[in-house]
Amino acid sequence: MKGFRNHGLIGSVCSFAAAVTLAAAVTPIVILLVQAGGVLDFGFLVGTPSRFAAQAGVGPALAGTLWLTLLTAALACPVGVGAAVYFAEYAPRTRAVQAIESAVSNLAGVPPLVFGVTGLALYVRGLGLGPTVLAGGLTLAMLALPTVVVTSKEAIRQVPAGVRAAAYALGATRWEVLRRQVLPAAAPGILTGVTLALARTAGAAAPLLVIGAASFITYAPATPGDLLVALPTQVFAWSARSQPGFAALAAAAGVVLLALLLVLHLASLALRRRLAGAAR
Amino acid sequence: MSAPGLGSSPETRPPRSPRDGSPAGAPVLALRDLCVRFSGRPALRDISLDVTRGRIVAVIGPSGCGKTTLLQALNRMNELIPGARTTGSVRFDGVELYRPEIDPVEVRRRIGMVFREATLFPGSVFDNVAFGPQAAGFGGDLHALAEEVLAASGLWSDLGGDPDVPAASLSAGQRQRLCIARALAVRPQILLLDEPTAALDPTATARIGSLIHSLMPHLTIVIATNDVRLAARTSNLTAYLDRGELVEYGPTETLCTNPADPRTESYLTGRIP
Amino acid sequence: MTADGSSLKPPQAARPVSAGPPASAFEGTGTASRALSERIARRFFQVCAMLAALAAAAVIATLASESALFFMEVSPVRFLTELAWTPLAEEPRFGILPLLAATAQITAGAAVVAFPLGLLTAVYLEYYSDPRAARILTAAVIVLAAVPTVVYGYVALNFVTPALRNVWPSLEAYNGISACLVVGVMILPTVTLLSRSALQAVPPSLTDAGLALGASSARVLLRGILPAASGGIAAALALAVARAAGETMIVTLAAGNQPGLTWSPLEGLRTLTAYIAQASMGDAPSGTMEYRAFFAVASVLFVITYAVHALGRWLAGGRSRRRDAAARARPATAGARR
Repeated sequence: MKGFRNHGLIGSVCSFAAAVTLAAAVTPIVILLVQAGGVLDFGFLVGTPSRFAAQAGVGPALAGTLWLTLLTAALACPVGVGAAVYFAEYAPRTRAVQAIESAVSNLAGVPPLVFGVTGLALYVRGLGLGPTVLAGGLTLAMLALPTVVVTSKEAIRQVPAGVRAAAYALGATRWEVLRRQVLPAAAPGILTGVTLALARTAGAAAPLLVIGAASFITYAPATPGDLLVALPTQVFAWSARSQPGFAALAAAAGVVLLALLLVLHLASLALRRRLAGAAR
Repeated sequence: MSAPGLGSSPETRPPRSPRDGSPAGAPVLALRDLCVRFSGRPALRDISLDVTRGRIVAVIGPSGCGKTTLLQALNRMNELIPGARTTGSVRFDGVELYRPEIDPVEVRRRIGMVFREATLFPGSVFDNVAFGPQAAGFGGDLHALAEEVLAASGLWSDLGGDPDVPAASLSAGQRQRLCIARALAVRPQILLLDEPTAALDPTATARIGSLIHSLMPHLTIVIATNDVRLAARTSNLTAYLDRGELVEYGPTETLCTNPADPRTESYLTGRIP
Repeated sequence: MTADGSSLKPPQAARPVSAGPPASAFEGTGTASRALSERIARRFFQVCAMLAALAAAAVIATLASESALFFMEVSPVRFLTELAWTPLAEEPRFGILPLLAATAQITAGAAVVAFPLGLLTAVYLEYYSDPRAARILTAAVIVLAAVPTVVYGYVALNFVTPALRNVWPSLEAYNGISACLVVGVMILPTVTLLSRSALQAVPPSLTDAGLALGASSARVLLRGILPAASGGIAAALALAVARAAGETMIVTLAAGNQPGLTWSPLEGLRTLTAYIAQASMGDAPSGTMEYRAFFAVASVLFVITYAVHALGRWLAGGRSRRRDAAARARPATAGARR
């Protein structure tokens, strides 16, 4: 074992800090579950927002977030993974390409809010889409893209160079090396990155708020052209209301959002297991 | 003949005694003034040598002398390294390999390569063997091909006739023999072996040595190695490289027992020059 | 299988070797279709990269063009020196300083919470915990990282602020201190996990050598390990700062949207992000100063977070850049052996 055996003062301080961190990690979720307890039921999941806290539900918001996640995945994943393959395997090592690559990568650190601002100008106003699910999906795809590129690129670069060399030496073309060796080996890592990016966008409230997400719509979006509603903005709208009862609604909507993210991560984990199994 | 069908049909080749080392007929590989630079830094200088069909040529020399670079220049693996520049001429059966219209993928199908580290592909032994033929659009019986090359490399009996075991379960020596088997599956005319025994224990090394020997009548082999005993045991001809230069090239027996150049002698005897 | 390998495609493989294949043998039947799929694949990936670059360019161009329109009417001097941000007032004032000051306060407060806690937790995970405790704590921190920030905002407003007001009755309903605490918790996973990676990158031989020389574990940690990991830790902190500065939902919900310049953590304040979130909810029409002001603030936020993030990536990349350089110095082995 790598650790130090005698703990001493530093060890005690570190252990204390770790305990505080653990408490900080657990507390928000406990608070949320406790506050949401009385509200969460099937009626809440399918119900629509209401002036009366007791009758309100997250049906439209839940449908909206599912739509948004689907659109984000469909738009950002192929482009993001494809761009990562280009940067990792094809791109010439010129200054211009490296500048573009680092510009894309550094966008991963720009706050989601800023993507909302550009989404407002580009999609809601520029393309005249209005505050629709489609405009939201395009905005979130732009937000997810840099994360997908960075994590996929990292996963592709983790594949040992020996695998590439061996495949080339057996007379495989670049595309065959990629398709049959590099991409299958990198697939679990790429999937992890894609999941992180999708989870981050599914939980993002700020960009949707900026492009004009509604919080009081009584029908679920049926097509991407319908008005934008989403779970994170619903949590925000209910949190900001001071009338009694709405705090519990916000907590319950938060629990639904967390459950959705949990499902996303579990699905990704199951798929990753299958991919790793297939590769072995 | 333990591996029928490897390489070309033997009757098309003029018969000759296996260890005489003297060039007979046109060389299968002819190098003239071959230079390789990495980002301007020379790694190989003006290498000129001929390799006769069906022979085993050992390339020996201290670490960093350019053995790997020489081998990679023979099947155009060098150009996968950014900053590499190759000049001079490499002729394979009279065809200039560095002509622009030559497809490096086709070159590598004819001139196979096995590396020092036995990097296996994920999946089974069969998956490893099948990769090359599949990439080449092989339309025949893959299982028969796999059995043939695995038998040739002595793995078939090790595996008890089951090529579907995970490749990861093999021992280090078996892995390297699998690497040789999967290179054979593409049916190369020349096989380049880059220090294939560097990571192996003496027993596994000996098995690779006899495997190389058994392949000899069918294949032309160029083997880069630091193991002078392996070179002496397996090869017909030996080239000694030092700092990117070809110091000496000749029949293995002559070079090993009576080297012409003092640099070769000090390498062989382990003296510090 | 026949002895001459006749079932192997492309067919030229069956040619007797001694015949010496002519150059055209290298352009056999398989080559054309292979070259085509090769070209299609390359083009597809290239188009993807171009789309990604286009998306990045669109973000930057949108911010730049609307901000340029803003600065044609409001001089940068006014932008940087006025002490109030009131774009909707009768006599609008466009001073970015109050917003910047609020963002700086929240970020600094969050850093005070998260830096020591996260760093010490990372040291605990790497050097003092048993594997079971490490697994549980790591899982908890990863879950913490996955919680959407709007949920943190809810917790700040409905739990942290009331709890603080029990202790401190003069605290306003919207205040900086609650936001600082919760933003600190929000960036805690970033600090902890990235610092831990930095510690993991320190070779164990360094620790062993120090202990073998008879140094105390505290000395090995402070003099050996932490200096060796300092680049990676600095990168972790920079990335965490970029996240804190860009955090929107927590500060909007907990710190409110008070326009004045304040240094008191007990009062509400308005960060760059809170202004954007609130202003846009008002549906400002395109082409007005209010709309452009909103882009000018977003640009400031973009520049700050982009720069800090780039700094962090540069710091984190130092080690791998040196590794690349070392690999280039020995190119003969780089392709085949690594």
